[in-house]
Amino acid sequence: MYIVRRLAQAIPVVLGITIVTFFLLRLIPGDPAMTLLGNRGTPEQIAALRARWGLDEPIWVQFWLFLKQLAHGDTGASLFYEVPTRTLIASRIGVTMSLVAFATIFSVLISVPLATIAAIRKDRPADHVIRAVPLVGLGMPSFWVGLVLILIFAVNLGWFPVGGWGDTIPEHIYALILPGLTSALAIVPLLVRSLRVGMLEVLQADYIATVRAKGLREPRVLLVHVARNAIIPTLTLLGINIAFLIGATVVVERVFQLNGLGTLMLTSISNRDFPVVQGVTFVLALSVVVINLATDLTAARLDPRIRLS
Amino acid sequence: MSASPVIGPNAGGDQAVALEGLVVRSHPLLRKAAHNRSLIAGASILGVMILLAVLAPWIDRYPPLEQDLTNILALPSWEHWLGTDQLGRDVWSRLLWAGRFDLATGFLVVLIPITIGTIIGTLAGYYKGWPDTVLSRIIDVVMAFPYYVLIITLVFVVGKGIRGIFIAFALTDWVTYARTVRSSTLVVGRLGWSSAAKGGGLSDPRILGRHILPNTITQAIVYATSDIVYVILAVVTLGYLGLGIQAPAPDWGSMIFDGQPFMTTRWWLSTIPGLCVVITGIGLSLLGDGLADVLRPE
Amino acid sequence: MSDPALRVDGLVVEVTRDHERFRAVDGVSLAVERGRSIGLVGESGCGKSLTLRAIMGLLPDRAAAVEGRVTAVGAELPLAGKGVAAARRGRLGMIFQDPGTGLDPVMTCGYQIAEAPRRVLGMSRAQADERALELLRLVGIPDVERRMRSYPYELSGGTRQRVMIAIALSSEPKVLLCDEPTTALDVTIQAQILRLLVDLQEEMGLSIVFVTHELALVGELCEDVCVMYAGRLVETGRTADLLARPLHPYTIGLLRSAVDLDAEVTAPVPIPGSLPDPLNRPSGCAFHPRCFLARPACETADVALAPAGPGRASACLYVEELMTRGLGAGVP
Repeated sequence: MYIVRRLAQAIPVVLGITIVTFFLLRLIPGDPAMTLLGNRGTPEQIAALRARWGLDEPIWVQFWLFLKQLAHGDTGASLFYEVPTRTLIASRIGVTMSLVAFATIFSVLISVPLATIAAIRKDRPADHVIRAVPLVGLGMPSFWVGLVLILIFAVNLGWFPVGGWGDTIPEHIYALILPGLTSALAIVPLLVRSLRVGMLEVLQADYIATVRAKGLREPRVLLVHVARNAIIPTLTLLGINIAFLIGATVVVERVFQLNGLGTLMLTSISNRDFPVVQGVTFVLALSVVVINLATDLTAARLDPRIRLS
Repeated sequence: MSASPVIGPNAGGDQAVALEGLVVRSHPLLRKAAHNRSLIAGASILGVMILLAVLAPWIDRYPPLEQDLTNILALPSWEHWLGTDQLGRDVWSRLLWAGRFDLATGFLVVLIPITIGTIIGTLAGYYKGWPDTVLSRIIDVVMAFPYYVLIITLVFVVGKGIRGIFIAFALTDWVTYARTVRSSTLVVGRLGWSSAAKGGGLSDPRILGRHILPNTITQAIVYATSDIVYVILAVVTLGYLGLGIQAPAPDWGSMIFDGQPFMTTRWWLSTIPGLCVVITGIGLSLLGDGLADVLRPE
Repeated sequence: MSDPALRVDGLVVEVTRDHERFRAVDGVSLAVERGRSIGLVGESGCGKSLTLRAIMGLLPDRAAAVEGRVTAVGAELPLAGKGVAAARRGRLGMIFQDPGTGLDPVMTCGYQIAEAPRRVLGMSRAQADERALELLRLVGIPDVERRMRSYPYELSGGTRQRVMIAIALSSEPKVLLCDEPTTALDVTIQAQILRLLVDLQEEMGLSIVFVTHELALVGELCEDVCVMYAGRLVETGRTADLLARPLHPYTIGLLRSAVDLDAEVTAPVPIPGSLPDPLNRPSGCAFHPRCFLARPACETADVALAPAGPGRASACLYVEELMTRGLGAGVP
């Protein structure tokens, strides 16, 4: 069955992620333990760290050690906070995933109508205006967009908080709107460009002509047949771009002072806290694989042809 | 080509005719390029940005690193066209030099991934078999890492600054080129004439160089125009995060960061560098669209 | 004489390409009686598909019907604008060339066939499904229960085309427009589909407009035929008569270039040259650069369909000559 095949495909990727994450440590120039601990480290601490990471062992022993730890959900202990990294990650992951969810919803809410309008009104003014969106939007740095939005909506208009997470759930939701919008705008240009092409392909397809020839009313043609067919490439596209989206949220969190995995990662970089950086990188990559798997399986559910190939 | 036709693909009259005069008449690609509005617009915008960056040493008004603590956060004036930043440095000059660094880095950094990616992709698409499968898995793995996350981590690990940027991109950015070139090569390889060439006894490097590469590399070039935008975005983001070129050297990203505390009073300090990135992005995108049209096989 | 089921007068379709407009269909008129079929024959690119699409109101973005009248089953049909689809409901139906792309890939056949009865004819779900089963049987598909739940990709080309016909019939049209429905199919399947269309015409009194580039196919199904070249009709008449006694050099060329398995051992002779670029239409008679009968007058005269005997019309200036010389004489 397709599900099995798709899962089987994901496994080497997950393995690959672990390998890459494993090797990141070994790319640090010089002695990783010393580089990271720097002046703070006493010789005993450095030796202890080297032992923990097995840096003196042969490489496959090191990898095996790494995998064992990972299997137990142990992604190391923070050098800075001296708690297991997974505690830190667990406390932050909710914020990041909520942000990603908001961003995904916003990006779909913005891109799909725009792409549809552009496709239906092809070559007319609306189409040209919408086609300018990818053009202009592609080069917009996410953090800059965030700052501009803060300037306009938070500072000048006062509609939204300048940053922070809030204390209650309604406050959380409220606080996620601007950052969610900012992250969404990171992939909206890509989505609009590709969706528009996909929409056009569907609209000009022979089977839509067949449906129209039956005498069906246009709204039904659009809503049932066009939408149903266009949703599949949309999902696939979303899956492809989710990696980019998650990457953007990392920076956006910093701009809006949200306490998520992104800020954790960036703070840990300033603290030279490698295990945390490693842990966060791994978790984020894993979530990309998981989300991709979810979108692919959903697309297969909707499109019988995928199950065949 | 004396009179300019009113309708038809050569409409646009004198402008097109004049350009034709400047351009080699006999080369069909260049002629097609001269008529493509997207290409011309993009190239012009980009050209202006590059020109400003190149001329930075001559058109800046103050040394970009020179501080003047008696005149911090000045408003725009004849003296300082865009005012001064929090250390009294002339914003216009810093903007120019930042552009110089960001644009140059963007264009140079992208060369390594293009080369690596094209070579690997061509070999994978041509020889197929298990190296191809392995490569596809590797590409999947690299693409599983969120773009900025991997770059930030690599820069952190390898070291900040220019060296870190080059290495980080060399390790991550080649994948899309490899993927694009690989599928192009697969398609081209299936066409009859390349099998015929092989059957005719041509050696592999010759086939690759003469027959396959010219067809696949155009795809890579078109993608490169978007990729340069991404690279510049990443360089600027690294600058914003303090992981790029180190202070006090100017970079659009770090300028945005410097200006952030003063958003309410001196909003242009953060806004204008961002606009520069956006404009560059527009130029590159238009150029890419135009190139795609021109290079598309009829 | 009762009203024709479908009547087209002076249809002109303009197409925009590379910022230039040209007439892809230039003044085509035809009429189909109730229960009869007409064939529309021509090489690829002569405008016959666009003619059908213009009649159906399904022109692609770059084309527009700028002149002409279409009347079907007693009503004049608008060529563009809001009422286009509504006017054709229950009157016209259309089937397309490639059943592979003509069926919605994400929905079952049953759903697609039952959709029009439910949404257009207002039947209930159960009634519509019943109707779908009937239609599947009508088009000769075995094992209808299972086919209802099949997806298009599961079916063979011939079966898909039958499903397309069922879908077209589901809105109960009086006229069926067929845009090269057999071109994408195997020769043996072709014959089956043609047979099906003939049967449907007899059983349901359907009128059919059959577009194809193969003159031979028309002989099976259509009582009348029109030959089209570069956007204009060059010859019309009863099929049997036209095939036996063609009155236009282009028709003669088509007949000679066709592979006829029943004929004597004569190798097919293709017509020299190719269709003119619509942006660079030859002056006078558009066919003259490729015509074996071309005379100086052909380059300048304004040619049009003119009566050439009972039930016949031809646009050739030298039709009398063709009438006397017959098929074989004087052809290089």
